[in-house]
Amino acid sequence: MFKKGLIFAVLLATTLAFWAPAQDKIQVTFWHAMSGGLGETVDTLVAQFNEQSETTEVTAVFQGNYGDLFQKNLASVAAGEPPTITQMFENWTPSYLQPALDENALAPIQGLIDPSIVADIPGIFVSANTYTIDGEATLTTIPFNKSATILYYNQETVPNPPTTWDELLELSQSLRQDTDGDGEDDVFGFYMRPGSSGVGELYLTYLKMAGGSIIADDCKSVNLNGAEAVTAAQFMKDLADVSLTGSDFEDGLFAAGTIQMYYSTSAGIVFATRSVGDNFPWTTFGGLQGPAGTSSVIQGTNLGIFQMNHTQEQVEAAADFVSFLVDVPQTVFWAQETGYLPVRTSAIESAEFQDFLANSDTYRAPTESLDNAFITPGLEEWSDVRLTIADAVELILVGGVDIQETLDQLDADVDEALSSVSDGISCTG
Amino acid sequence: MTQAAPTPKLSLIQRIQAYFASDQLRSPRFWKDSLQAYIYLLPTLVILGVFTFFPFVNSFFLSLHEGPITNPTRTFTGLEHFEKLFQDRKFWKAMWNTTYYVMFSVPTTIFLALFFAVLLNTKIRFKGFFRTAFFLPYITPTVAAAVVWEWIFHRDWGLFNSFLNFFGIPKQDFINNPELAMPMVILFSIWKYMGFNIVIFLAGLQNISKEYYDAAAIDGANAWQRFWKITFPLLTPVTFFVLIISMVGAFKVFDEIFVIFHGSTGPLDSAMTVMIFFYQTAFGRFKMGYASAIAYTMFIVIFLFTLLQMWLAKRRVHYGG
Amino acid sequence: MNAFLSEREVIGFWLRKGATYAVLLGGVVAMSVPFLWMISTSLKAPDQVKVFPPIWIPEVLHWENYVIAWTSAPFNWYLFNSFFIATVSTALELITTAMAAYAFAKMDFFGKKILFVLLLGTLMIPGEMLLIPNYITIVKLSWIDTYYALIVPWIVSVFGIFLLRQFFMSQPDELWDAAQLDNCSRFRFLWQILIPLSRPGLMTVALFKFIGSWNAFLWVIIMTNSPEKRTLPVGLRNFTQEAGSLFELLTAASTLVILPILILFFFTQKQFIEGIARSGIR
Repeated sequence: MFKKGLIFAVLLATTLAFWAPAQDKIQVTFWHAMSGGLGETVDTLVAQFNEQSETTEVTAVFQGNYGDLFQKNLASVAAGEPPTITQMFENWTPSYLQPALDENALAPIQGLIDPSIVADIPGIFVSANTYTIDGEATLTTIPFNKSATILYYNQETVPNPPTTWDELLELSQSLRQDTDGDGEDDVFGFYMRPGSSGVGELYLTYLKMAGGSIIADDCKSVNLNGAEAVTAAQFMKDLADVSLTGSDFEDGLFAAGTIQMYYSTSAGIVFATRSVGDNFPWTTFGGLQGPAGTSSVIQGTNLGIFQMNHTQEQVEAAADFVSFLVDVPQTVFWAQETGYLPVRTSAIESAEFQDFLANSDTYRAPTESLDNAFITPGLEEWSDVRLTIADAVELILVGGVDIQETLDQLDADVDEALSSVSDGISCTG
Repeated sequence: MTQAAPTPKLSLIQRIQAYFASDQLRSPRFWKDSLQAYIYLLPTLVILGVFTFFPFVNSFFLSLHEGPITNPTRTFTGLEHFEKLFQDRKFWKAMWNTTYYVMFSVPTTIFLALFFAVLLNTKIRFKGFFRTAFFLPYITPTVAAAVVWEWIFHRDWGLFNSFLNFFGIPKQDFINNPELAMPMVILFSIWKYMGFNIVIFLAGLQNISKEYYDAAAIDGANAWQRFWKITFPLLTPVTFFVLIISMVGAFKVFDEIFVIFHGSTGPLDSAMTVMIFFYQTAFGRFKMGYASAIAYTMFIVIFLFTLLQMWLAKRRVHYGG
Repeated sequence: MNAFLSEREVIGFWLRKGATYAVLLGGVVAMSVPFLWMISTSLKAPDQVKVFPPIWIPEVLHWENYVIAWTSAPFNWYLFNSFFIATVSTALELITTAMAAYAFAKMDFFGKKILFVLLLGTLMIPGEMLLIPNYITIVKLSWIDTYYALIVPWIVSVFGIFLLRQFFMSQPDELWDAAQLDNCSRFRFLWQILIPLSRPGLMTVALFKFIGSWNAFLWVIIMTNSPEKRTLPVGLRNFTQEAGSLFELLTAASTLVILPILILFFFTQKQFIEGIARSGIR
């Protein structure tokens, strides 16, 4: 019986091993890391495109989380068979261009899509997606799922959001409570995740609010131990001292009433909505002011088109699809469904989106904070740098180290990591 | 295998020379057997060759180079990565964390597994139920298990804290306290892998002939004596097997930490094992060459450690038959 | 109870029995609390998942979570593929493993010791470092997005060889001597004598292979592109994101993923754990 089963199994394996649909349209594959509801929205948009396009067939493929997707992109380029379109963070992109590779694996978006689209993309996105190609600043990728960093707050316990650092500190302190009388506080004002890799980006946000700058124009050095850097670190440390620190996602603690406020990416609005349900009213705020004003770090990925192993026809078809995705109706739909930012100025200003904001208060702050936002440098080295920053910030927040000393070391480490940046690249603050 | 000569102190080279000079190598039958053996080994060797040995050698090549993540062999750096590694504070931290994990999780898991396997092997009812319950954690996907585990060890609503509270111990933040993060991971791995070891022990226990126990019963040996005089000695090959497999697996621990701490290294790097360090270096910091050096060093450490264990165990493991 | 036992011995017997059950039950509780919590979570509304005090049994049981979870990805395909891939690779692995273990346990050959150490060494290689080079190999073989990629590299297990070797070694050499008198070939000896005698070992190897294959994630997602080739753990990835997790759906899907193996184990555990006792050897 065992042997027969085995023979049957082997036969079945051989028969089923090859399976491919009939193809006559131009095939475009789109690799993404959008799971769950996000993935469903991607599928909806892809289906819409496929229906209206007579020449192109896009296949969207979910490739796991960003880490999985990164490994897969990397391996596929090494094997010479990348997808047509993929999501990529700013600091993934240079690895697929000269001088990292001998030839550019990516086809720059510029020249592939209508210049009027480019003109309509908010400037912050354009500069973040611009890379030096053949000595020219070239728009290489296009923004896709971008989120801002905003303050989430419980409107029952925090009727008015804190607008200054001092107010935030005071409020975080005054909201602490020991409800069960065991001598330890169990309700907190603010919550931080010192061990997460995103804590570095959060620190840079406070640094910006303090008036500091992140990186020199030639991308070869940072100023992470100046007065503003110390101010920002000291503030974060003071805040951490009166806040709950932990590693779990914010939404659970927020919904449970354990924390009243937290700073996080707007991609988490969906989760807060689910977790809180109708328990209490809450919303988001983007106007927290540091000594030098407000700021917000924009995170999320862009879309890149691979020319490696693809025909010009496929590259152009991919560009058609990308243009479709960032077209006003689609980017508005995407923003409404997922909470990511629309990537077109006219989309943000459109009546449809403004109506949507009027009814969905939580999405207002992310869009508004776009004016004072920044994006971390699109350097391959930045992957290393951001983790180095996160390590130092964790040490400052919960490691009980000397702030100035730690920042001095951090500054030196980051400068060393950036020493390999090629000449002729420029960064913005 | 050639029987070692009674003279104990032969150098490796002498032993190799003796092997090549032995009569065995001149017997046609030995070569016929060898050919046959290699036919039996062929599928294994081909697949391991293509999917393990080849990439393994390939990544040694990577460890001697440096370059962008998509072009990791751009510059030859020789052994620089290894030199740098031995001065890297993070590497030693990772080594220490890994050793700590191995030293506590492996012996505890084996001890508990042996204990429960012996109990499960006695004449009890509902054996199937008990065995399945003990096996449950092993088949639970790590991502689901870790979600539940985070909840159990949560500072505010964790069940484990209620349990501690019962004994008057104040609540602890297991996931965020650098001193408790690794012990929690160890508890997790004991919970998860005990069932795996129990199954192997049970199979081993079944392999021990009833006659031994019958004879012991006639001699009036009690349960305790039976365990130490019969079960334990006859189980040494299985125990040794479990020990080696668990040690090797534990040195490579990655999945559960990666999931519990959301891909980070735990509070103040307290849960950063060597493989977590490797992963972060390769796919977080984009330093493939350096990461390969980490993985290689790890491999060498495990290899030497296993050889040492085998050497130590040589005289203690009892092959019945 | 034996009439010749004294009262003290009878009490001792029951005390031991009671203690055994108590300890085992304690173990069962410790082992299954996380599992029970998983099931409990899978029946909750999203806003009941992380609350204090914890809710063990929600007032309204949200069975629909199971439906939502199952339909949020092509889980029917995943289930079929998981079964198919796990079954085929387990069957093939048993063959390669038995052959290699036999060579190591019962044959003398050139380079045996070195080869064995070499094989053992592969256990110590972290899989994470082999993934990208293996992807390139799979591309060169044109196996991307095929069952070959998911099965062939995994039909060899050094763990299995090591385990079966132990089992084969514990069979006396006299068996082979006797078989030779009957003109039995090595091949027949392996399949008709050694393997039936080592059934618990084979079943153990098969069990671990099956579970390993069932729960494999990273390899599957890296080597495949179409949902028609992917397996259940890929579906689980749908419920976790950078900014949060859909706990109730993740736990519901996980429960469904575990169920088949759980049932399989429950009904077959006797087979491999007690196999040898019934075959009456030694």
